[in-house]
Amino acid sequence: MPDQSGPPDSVGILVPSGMLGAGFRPETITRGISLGADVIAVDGGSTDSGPYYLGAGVAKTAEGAVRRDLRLLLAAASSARIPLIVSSCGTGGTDAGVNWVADIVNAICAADGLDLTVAKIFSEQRAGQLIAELERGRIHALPPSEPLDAATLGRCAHIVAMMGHEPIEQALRAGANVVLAGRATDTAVSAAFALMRGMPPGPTWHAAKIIECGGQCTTNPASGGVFARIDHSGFTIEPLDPATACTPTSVAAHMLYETANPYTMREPGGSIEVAAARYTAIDERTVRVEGSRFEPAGQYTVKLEGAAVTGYETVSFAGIRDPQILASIDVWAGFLDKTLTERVASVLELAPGSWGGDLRLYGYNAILGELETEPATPREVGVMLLVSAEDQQTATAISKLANPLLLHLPLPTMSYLPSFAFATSPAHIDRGAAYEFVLNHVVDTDSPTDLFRLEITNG
Amino acid sequence: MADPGDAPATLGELALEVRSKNAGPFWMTLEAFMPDDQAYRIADALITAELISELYHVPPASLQIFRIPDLRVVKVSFPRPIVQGSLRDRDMHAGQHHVPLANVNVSAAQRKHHPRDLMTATSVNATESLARWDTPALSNALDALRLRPRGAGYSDGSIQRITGTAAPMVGRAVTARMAAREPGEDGISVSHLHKAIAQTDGPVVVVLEDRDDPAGAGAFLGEVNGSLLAALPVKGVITNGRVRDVAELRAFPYPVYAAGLCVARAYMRLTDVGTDVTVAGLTVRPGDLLHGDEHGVLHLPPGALPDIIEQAELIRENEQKIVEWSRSADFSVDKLLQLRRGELAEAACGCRKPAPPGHMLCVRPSARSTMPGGQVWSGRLTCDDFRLVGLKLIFLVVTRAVSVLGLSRREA
Repeated sequence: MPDQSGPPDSVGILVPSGMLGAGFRPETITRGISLGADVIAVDGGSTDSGPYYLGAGVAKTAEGAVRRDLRLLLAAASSARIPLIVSSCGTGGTDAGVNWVADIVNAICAADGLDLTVAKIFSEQRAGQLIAELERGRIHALPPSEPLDAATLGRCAHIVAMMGHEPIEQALRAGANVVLAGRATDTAVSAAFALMRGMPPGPTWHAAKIIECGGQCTTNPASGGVFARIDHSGFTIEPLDPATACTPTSVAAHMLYETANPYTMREPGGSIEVAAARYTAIDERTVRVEGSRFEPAGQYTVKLEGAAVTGYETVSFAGIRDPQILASIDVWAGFLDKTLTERVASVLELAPGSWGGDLRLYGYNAILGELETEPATPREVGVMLLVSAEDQQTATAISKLANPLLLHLPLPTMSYLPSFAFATSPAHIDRGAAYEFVLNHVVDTDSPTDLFRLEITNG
Repeated sequence: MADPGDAPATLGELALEVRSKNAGPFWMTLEAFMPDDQAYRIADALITAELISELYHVPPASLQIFRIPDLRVVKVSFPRPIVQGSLRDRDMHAGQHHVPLANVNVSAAQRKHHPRDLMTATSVNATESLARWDTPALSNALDALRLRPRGAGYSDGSIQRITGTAAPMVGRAVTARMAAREPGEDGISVSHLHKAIAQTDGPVVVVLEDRDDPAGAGAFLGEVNGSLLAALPVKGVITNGRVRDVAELRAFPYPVYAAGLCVARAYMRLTDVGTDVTVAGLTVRPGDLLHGDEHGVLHLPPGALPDIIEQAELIRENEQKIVEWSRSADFSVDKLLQLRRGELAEAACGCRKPAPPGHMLCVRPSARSTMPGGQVWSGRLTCDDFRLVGLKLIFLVVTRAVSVLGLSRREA
């Protein structure tokens, strides 16, 4: 949708929810369209739920939920003749994630008779190519991480690069009605159309950050969508649920959400600076924001995300209610740890360092561990033993050795064997591969679109 | 232990919200949203790099602290100590890591701007009311409230009060462990102990476990360490080891409980601060409430206050009636000899069931019948302690029988 004339006075952005597949009421969309939305933007992913989704290339959201959301969004975008942009498709933003969402979109278009041009932007990276960049000194660590080495890149199951707004803008200029992007910054999805239409970068990026989580910037975060209108001197924002409000506090406070620094946020091409932003209530549910700036960076950098297999895991679960054990639960846990380590060494001939175990006492101190400030004698404890080993067979074998201990291990001072409460039979579940985020690095690029591949199909 | 309506005790109670979340996979961020400017000032003073470092075991230099008076928010970000999703990550979104910050006692922050010994009204009242009682009375009241097994929760005869006056000692435990007999590389700076004392709200009782076997090869507490503790809000020191410089110890404003005196320092060093310790048969956790006098040291379990005071008063009232009867014109040897077990108590407390003299403990119906951890300590509340003993015997026989039966059904 190339701009035919000069920039418009403003651009309206409809964000139906914080995440594709989270659900929203149909009125959310009607309301946003009636406010004059020029684009619908929705984030399809995040790293927040952990490394598994990137590592395995599997979405966190259910296909049915994504289909339901997309059917409403595609119908609205099609009838209002405005673009729909989805970023970080399939949670991790892998190529498989983009294709997964594209398949759903194509099926809906076919079923509902929608004639839309669909663009896919792939952001997955090959380790080999990045190793070449590494050798050229173009990959840098972000705090708190160490400099990257080639082996780490080689270990990754999947690597994605986080695109800025430029690849999305490229797809829009090429005539896409629907843009399905791989991994992108949380803000790029909302900023791309407004920047393309000539809106100033300061207000655009700031607005994009505020609306990226949908209703999180309102007085009722559960209410769903928001609408932002960006103009040449700032932006205004309101919730799409008439019963909910944006207040200067709720909007300003969103700069705190999931950010390390609430005043400045790095994008590939520069930094959003909001320390001087002013938040004013226009009415009881609409807020005006002015004074936000965007500082271009000297070097365009693209952030990398990578997940590597750390091992294969088995989780076992047992319940303890016996007050005598619970009164000395630390002693019991230490005894289990020691006994299991000895049994694994003697029976499976595995040295303690060759496998990992994490014994968690839910109901006592599992969540905070050594940070727990007030451990009290619990009434009951759920004992979770998480075992990690080089392969699934070994993790399972270790868990099977742990089984009788989780069932019967007494305190060292007890003269009889207690029996604990297994929740299921078997008491263990194989978890398969476990992943860890291993990249927290940026790569210098000459062009914002270099690392990304655009594919356009006419639906 | 603040009553509803009291001033907020913790930052979490004072705040609109204290929350935590990932800021990407490698960072964690904490925010305290305060309701008004006064509350913001308290949070602002309370949340320091030192506090966060202590609570979250992260180096102060790694912290970013943002103080935002316009929003009445203090925000702290730091690299995640455990990488998201790794084997030992138990909080994938870091969504529960606000709790240590939310639990910080607000009065500790207020104290920074006030004299050192200023305490909240609640803790002053609790301390003062406990200090009016001796350990045997409070121990009887704990037994009556069934708040602990009868054979645990107090120091055994292996330690004595070496110095101190008649006034009872009351305070929260700060724990440490030491060794002295052999040299070792496991020593930590005594400043850890001082920091732990300074960060504990209200009066402190230092509980020091001597790990040597037998304990007492060398003394931690002497003139120097004793003087340093005297400069802090320390109300007592308890150790299973030995102490020295007794003349100087007598001059300090706190009592000292120990196994006795000794000559040397030997290879004395502190090895831990803030762990669970066991001293003279008494296991103590940091923050436990302790009470001591010439009889020894008593552990007051969580939930003992405020019922323990009322119970102690009830017991004293009952005892007083018997003492009064023994001195009254109504008293006669015949009546005393005719008296069936427990009738004195019935007369005194109005309970239906007789109880033997010396066991005339009447439990208020509202008193708790379970241990803090939920352990049922008696089947029902009654004046008759013999019935309780009977129930316990039956319980022991049954549990023993069950465990014997269990042997035949064991899977491994």
